[in-house]
Amino acid sequence: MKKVILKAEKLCKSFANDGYQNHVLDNLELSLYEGDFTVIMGSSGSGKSTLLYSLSAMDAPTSGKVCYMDKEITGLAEKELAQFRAKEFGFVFQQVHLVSNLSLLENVLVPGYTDKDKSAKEVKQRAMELMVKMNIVDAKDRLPSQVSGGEAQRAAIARAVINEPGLLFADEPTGALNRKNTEEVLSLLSDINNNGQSILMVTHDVRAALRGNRLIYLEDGKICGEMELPPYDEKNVKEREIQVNSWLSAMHW
Amino acid sequence: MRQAFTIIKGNLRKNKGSYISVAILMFVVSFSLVGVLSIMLNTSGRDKELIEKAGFGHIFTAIKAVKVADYDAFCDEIVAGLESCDDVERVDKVPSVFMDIVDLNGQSSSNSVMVLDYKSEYVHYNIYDEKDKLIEQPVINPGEISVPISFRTLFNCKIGDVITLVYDGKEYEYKIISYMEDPYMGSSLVGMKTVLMNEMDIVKIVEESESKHTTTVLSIFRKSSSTMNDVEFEAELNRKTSFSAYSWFALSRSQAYGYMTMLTDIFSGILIGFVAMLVVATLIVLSHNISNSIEHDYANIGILKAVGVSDGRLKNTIMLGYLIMAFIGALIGMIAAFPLIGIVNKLIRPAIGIVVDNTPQLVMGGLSLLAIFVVLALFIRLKLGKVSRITPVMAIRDNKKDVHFSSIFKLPISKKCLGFSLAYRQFITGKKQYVSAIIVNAILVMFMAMISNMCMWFGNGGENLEKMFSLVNYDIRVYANTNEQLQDIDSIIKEHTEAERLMFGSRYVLMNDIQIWCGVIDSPDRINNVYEGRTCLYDNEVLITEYVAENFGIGIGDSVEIKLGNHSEEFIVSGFYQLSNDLGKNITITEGGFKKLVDEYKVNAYCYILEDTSVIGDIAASISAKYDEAEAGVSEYDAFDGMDVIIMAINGIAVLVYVIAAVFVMVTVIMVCSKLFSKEKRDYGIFKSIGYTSARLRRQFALRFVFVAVFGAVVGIILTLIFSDLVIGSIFEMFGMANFTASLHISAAVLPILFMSLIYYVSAYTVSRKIKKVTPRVLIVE
Repeated sequence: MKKVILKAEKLCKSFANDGYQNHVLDNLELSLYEGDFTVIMGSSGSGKSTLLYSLSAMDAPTSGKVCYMDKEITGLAEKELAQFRAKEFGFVFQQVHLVSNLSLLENVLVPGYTDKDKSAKEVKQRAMELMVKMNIVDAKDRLPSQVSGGEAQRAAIARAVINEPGLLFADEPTGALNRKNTEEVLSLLSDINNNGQSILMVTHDVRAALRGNRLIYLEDGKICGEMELPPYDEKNVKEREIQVNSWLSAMHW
Repeated sequence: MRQAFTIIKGNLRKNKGSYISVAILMFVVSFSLVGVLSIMLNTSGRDKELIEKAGFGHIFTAIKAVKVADYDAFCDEIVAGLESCDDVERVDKVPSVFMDIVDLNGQSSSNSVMVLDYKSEYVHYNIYDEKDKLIEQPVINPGEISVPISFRTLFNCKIGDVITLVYDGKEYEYKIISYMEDPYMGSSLVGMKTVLMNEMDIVKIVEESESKHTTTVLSIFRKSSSTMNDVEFEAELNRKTSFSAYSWFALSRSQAYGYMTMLTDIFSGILIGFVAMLVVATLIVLSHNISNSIEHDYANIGILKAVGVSDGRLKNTIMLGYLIMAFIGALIGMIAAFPLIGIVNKLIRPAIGIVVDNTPQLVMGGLSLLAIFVVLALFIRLKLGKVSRITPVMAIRDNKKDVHFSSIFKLPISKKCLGFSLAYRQFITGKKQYVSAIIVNAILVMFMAMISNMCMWFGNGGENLEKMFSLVNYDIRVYANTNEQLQDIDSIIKEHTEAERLMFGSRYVLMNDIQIWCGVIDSPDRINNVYEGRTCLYDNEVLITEYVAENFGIGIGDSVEIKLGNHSEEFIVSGFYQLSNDLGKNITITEGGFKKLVDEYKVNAYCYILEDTSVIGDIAASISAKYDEAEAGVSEYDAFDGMDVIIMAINGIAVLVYVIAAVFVMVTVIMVCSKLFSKEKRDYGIFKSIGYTSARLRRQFALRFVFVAVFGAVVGIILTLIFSDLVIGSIFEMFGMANFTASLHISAAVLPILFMSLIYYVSAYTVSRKIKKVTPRVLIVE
């Protein structure tokens, strides 16, 4: 029996536009499990990004609640939310969002330094291990403007996992990368998931979706379908691709 | 036209914050400039007008109560001599008595008061009630007195108080019923004062006196056809008559005017200097703002060029936008200065002693602002040169990213001081953004440090200022009728403590035919502030001030002729010293030198420097137990009466400078921050996504501005070290002090740094409240 780490109950999100209410999420129920690589797919405007913000407490839902490890996070004060983000959640974005005047290593170190339980030496050691693992150790002292998009996104992933978060949110992490860099980043995500990191990724790229072991299809703010897959293995990618594509066809993708 | 208007409207809408900031900066400049100019020009205009209206001659002098059989006939003889001079139009004889203030609210004064009949046919003073309302037909009954407005500060007096005056050893009490406006000697800086009484009281004083006659004050008028100035006129009279031998003070109109307007001139000078600095600071902020706006609107400029808007039109419209806002700010500042003029005039009235008009000097203020606008327009036009280099293609293709270069000042990010090191990194990698704020801070800190240093140099009790107004420092001064009594007092003092005795006095003499205050001292090595050459050691040597050197065209080693009565001697200038008596128009000679100028030399006062100053009271008690006041007495060192006023004024100016600087910094920070904020919005999102709170980010943001403040302040302090003596020296020159040197007091340097750091921090923290609205959602591409 898998452990639930994040649970959304009756989650609604509406936006008012010129007096017209647009219901993006409609009484959505969802549970995410520890160790899963969950992928949310859906057509444009289906509400997948909105769901990601609401689940990660980046945006407050209109109604409903989100609990992380049985603790309700909707309605938390900014300070508590900040603590959550620092300790429990990691974020990887579509664009490479690194602080431009910090080197790659420093970008990784800064969130690590906010953890009071770890010494500076421990944080540095962990950051270096991650950089080695992500194959960006040679670029550690370079500024984001001096490295490739793939290297920068890998540094962003290292930054997201430096504090060993309970859940890593990834919003189209390969959306702005070329094919080679996309593969590198996805492999990295698979690797860290294999090491036990729970991931929730939003994507519309089938190749990226193949990395997940649980696929959720969103349409008009509701979950229309769900698919379970075995853990990702490079050996059976083709078979996996066929499976996913057929499921997506069934979802009218 | 419509096209230009549309562009301006768009610019104003888009860069609202910047334009409003320009308006506020010009508001501060205009408010200060119009206020200061109005106060300065109104004061000088009012004093000139009053001197004319009051009926003062070009030289105002009192004839000593010399022992002659018929004092009136003696005065008539002097008047006849004066009236025989070609350039003299007429000489008025104004009867008066000179009395001393024994008590007014527990204070006494070493300076005399000239008592005049309030209905005098020669000089006419305006008289005011306690609310400074002009009394059209004033009445002063016997037993009543009208005192100068400056008494309110000097003696803390009010209507209804009783003043005790002494004449020939006899005390008289009068009730203060009104205030008089004295354009000649009314300022707190002038020792002697005029008071008005009923003629019957003056008659009574004279009848009860030993001399039985009033003192004649001569009001000497120069012919309107005369081409001489006041100094030449006085020299001419001294050459042709011997009136100066019998006058115990002579004050020309220009001297009186100088004294009366000195305070406002000095402080207006300081503030106009400050306004000039503010204009420079405004240009720097504007420069930063224009560069940023061009960078920000790069694409828009390109698009406008692509649709056919010419370079010149673009530049003109951008410039017009700035000028419109600057004009609005300046206009509001000008209007806001109106009530300020009234408030400041009311505050300084007791110090300057005249009721100054509250009318704003719109013409002068307007012309000055116009000059500033011309500079502003040229500057903006120059800065907009960059617009020509933007081509439509360049602008539209533009996709600028932040480029950071490594800096030798870069420090590693540290866990222990994470906030500090991140703030420092943001500051050092984006230093270009802060250059204007640093320069502005440097300029403001320089001025603030100078003002603070000036305040510190004055000291809380004005110790250094006292030195400027005293030839020597001493603890007590004793006087006695005979030399034997003086010798006796000398031994009484030495019974209480060890003491050094000095003979120090003063007389007006003629030097090269000009009347001048002359100090006389037996211990010339004790003279304060000899800064060039050496003190006057021998009886043919004279010390002069730089003012005297410049105005008499003499230097060290030159010979001058000093006359007193019938005696005339040649003296050699031995050195320069500083003393503010008579605005620096003074000299000092030795006791030996003075003996050569008089037939009979008699000392009736000595000064003492005591080893133990706590026994002053005991000494006074011992002397008064043995002698009555008419025979001998003791007085403590008497500080210059106007000291408190000057110290109060300089502290007031310092507060004003600090307040204006704070407002200026706030506006500068708002301008810099608004651009910075839009540039860094993404970074705040990143930091928030990794667990930073808004409060933490705001502190980090504000901390950067503390670096700005500290960097700027360091530059400002260096500038202060270089320019302080020069700038403050030129201000003090107006006091008659030509050689100002004061090492920068540590507090004078630290205070502005702390103040500015706090203001920068608070302003930046306040402005950064926008960070609260930034969520990590800014990082998400929908």
